[in-house]
Amino acid sequence: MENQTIVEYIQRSLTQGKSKEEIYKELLSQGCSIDVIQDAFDQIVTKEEKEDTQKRTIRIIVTIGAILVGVGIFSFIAANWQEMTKIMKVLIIVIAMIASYTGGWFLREKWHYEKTGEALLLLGAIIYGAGIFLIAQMFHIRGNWPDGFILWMMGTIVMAFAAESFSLFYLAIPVGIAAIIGYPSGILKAFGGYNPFLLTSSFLLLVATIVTFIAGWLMKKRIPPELKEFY
Amino acid sequence: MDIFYDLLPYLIGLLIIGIVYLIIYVVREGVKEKDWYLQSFLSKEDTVSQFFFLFSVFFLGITISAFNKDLGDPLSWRTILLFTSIVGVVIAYYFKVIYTLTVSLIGLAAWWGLQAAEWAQGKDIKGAALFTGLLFIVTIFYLLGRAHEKEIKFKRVSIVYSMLGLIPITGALSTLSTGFGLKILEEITKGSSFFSSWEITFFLFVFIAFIIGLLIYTLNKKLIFKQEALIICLLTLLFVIIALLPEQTIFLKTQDYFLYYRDVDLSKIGIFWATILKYFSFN
Repeated sequence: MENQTIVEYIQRSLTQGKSKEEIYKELLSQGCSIDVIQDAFDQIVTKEEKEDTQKRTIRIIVTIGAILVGVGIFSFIAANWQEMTKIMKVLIIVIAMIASYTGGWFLREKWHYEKTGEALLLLGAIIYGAGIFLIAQMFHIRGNWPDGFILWMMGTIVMAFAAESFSLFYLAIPVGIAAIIGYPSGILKAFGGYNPFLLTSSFLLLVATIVTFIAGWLMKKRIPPELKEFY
Repeated sequence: MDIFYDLLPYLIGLLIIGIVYLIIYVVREGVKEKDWYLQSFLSKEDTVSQFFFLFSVFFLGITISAFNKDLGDPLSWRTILLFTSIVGVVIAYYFKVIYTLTVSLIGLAAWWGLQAAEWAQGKDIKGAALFTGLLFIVTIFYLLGRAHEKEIKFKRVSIVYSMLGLIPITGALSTLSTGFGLKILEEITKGSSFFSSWEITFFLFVFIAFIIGLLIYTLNKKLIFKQEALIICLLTLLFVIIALLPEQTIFLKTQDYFLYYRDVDLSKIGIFWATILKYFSFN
């Protein structure tokens, strides 16, 4: 049997789901030597590695390209930000957020590009958070900065449940930590006469308590059944 | 009492180190294949739910503080800490969330320390009483850790209690056996007896009753070794003695050129205490 024929036979057999041992037995029974069979397997592995390397290279180049395009867009927006009207700024933030979420959902659910889809959903949540602070700055909304993180956390949690995305839950965690760290530092200043809750809605804090509790409870219900005995 | 506030940052630092140690221990050390369920997070859902329950407890405390401020401060911040910690413990037990339990137990211990300091205000009660009370609390935690070991669903809870008990006791004994620690011991024995405050007296007796009750329970259920129970009894006795100690002169003092007193060497009492504390910290 020629080398190329052996390679093709092995590839066909692997596609059919045969194990390496079975292929070895069949080729040995046909009179092929072990060295020839091993050589054919090595050729297939080398070819696959080359294809993987090519795919990886293309993926890296495309990712760098996407990042550079993204940086270019952000640079353009940043350079012209001051000249834009408030309506235009709000529209850019809202459209970018919706586009990210929509794109992420389509990529993940319809076209089965799970990782890219998750990345876009995460980007949408980050744009949402950045939008809260930008809009507060644009309209000179007075408030304690931890409130922004609470709103960001709650929105991310809601989106995480809607999109069934763990990456959004993982984003909500450090955002929540930032909000929690912000309040005690304000409370400590209360001993010096400063009122840390002057600009904060107490009801926002109450809603945050309820939302985080419900989120924890719902996640607890989703724990796999085989782990239930440990709870 | 000022010595207590001076010590507070070190105590908090010890507790933080203890929490870090607990996390490292649970996640990495001693978790064999068959004990995989003792990890701090069992699944993605568990990870997320633990954090959110912890956040809900923190936000509860902050929310009550905010409403308290709006209503003109009817509650003290210590009461808010106590209430939040109790709610945290209830949530932790119901949902088996160990990080909420850890933070809530630390909150309870912190409440007692701060409230006892408040009760001692103006009565010049020695710091040894508060120190002993905190040591009683961590001893109770250790015994509760042993008591929870039986059921598989409480195994992780048991580890939390055990670590919150073991690390502070070890840290306290190790610190006290050093020169700095002996100086602290000298300072905290200054002042009047804790019997001047009925609240502190009441709580100390309640803690002792708890320790005795838990020792009897764990011995009956064979959850603790007899030698271990004996060591806990000896430690409790040591803590009681520290609380009842009259003022100790642990260091011999001499006056320097500027007429300030400075420590020269250990007195006989100082050598005695150094020996006792070194023995306990190594054993």
